[in-house]
Amino acid sequence: MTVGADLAGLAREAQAGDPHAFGGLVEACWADLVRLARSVAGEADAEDVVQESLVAAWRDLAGLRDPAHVRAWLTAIVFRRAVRARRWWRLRAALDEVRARAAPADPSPGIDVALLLGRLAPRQRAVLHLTVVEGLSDAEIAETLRMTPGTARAHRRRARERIAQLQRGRER
Amino acid sequence: MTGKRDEEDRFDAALRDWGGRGPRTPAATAAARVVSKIGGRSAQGRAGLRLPRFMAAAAAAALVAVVAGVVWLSRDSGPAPTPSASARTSVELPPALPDNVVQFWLDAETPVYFVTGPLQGPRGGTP
Repeated sequence: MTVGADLAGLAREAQAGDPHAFGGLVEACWADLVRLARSVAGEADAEDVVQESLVAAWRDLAGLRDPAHVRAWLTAIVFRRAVRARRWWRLRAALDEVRARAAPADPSPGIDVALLLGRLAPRQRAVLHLTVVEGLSDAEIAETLRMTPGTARAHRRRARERIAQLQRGRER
Repeated sequence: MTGKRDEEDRFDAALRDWGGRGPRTPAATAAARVVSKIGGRSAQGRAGLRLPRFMAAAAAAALVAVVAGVVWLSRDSGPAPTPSASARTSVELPPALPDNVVQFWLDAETPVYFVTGPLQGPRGGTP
């Protein structure tokens, strides 16, 4: 609660034109945003995507109607940009898969999370990340990704079905 | 059913490990980078809503100052006289202008009068 209130205060100061207050927001949200960007856009691009998103967010601060929801607002911006960056990751994921198939079978195969995530739609990936890694509720996910809680649940269900299908395919 | 659940749990654990790692760049460093990038943009960004008003006020003030200067100079000296025009000017100019009238010259023969207050003389006439 205190953190949220602090973020709202920083957001108001940033909206008043204080770049250092915006820096405080960046510092508070950086790790969460990079983790989401990594799940959506891939390891290589995650930090660049977040940094570019934050610069864009600064320019568009007037679009933040409720400073209390600044974290969800920033997350939504990062998600949109990560989706755009994702097409490069898709290519990399495809190459990784080819390499993995060519490699000799691992006697104790682990779960290649990046590869599996790469086969999901961006929204499925983001919903799964926000659920499992960040522990957000359906309502919080819905607010962040601009969808209804029911849609968030549907994305998660489809993501899980797809992951299960892919895992069974690899085990066979 | 249990197998499916186990599969989900294993994936969730792997996702938490993979997706929960911290960023390579520390938050403070990232914040400093972002601030340095946006620092020079504060005038374009959020302050963009205010700056035009400020600029408009400054521009208006500058315009008023320029106009006042031009008016003042034109009252003192009139147009740059040519040898032939200066003789005529002395004939064509009214002997004195009221205080609330400003005179400009479009050219050597065309005066323009601006009345800055109510006329004190007879209505409708040239001062």
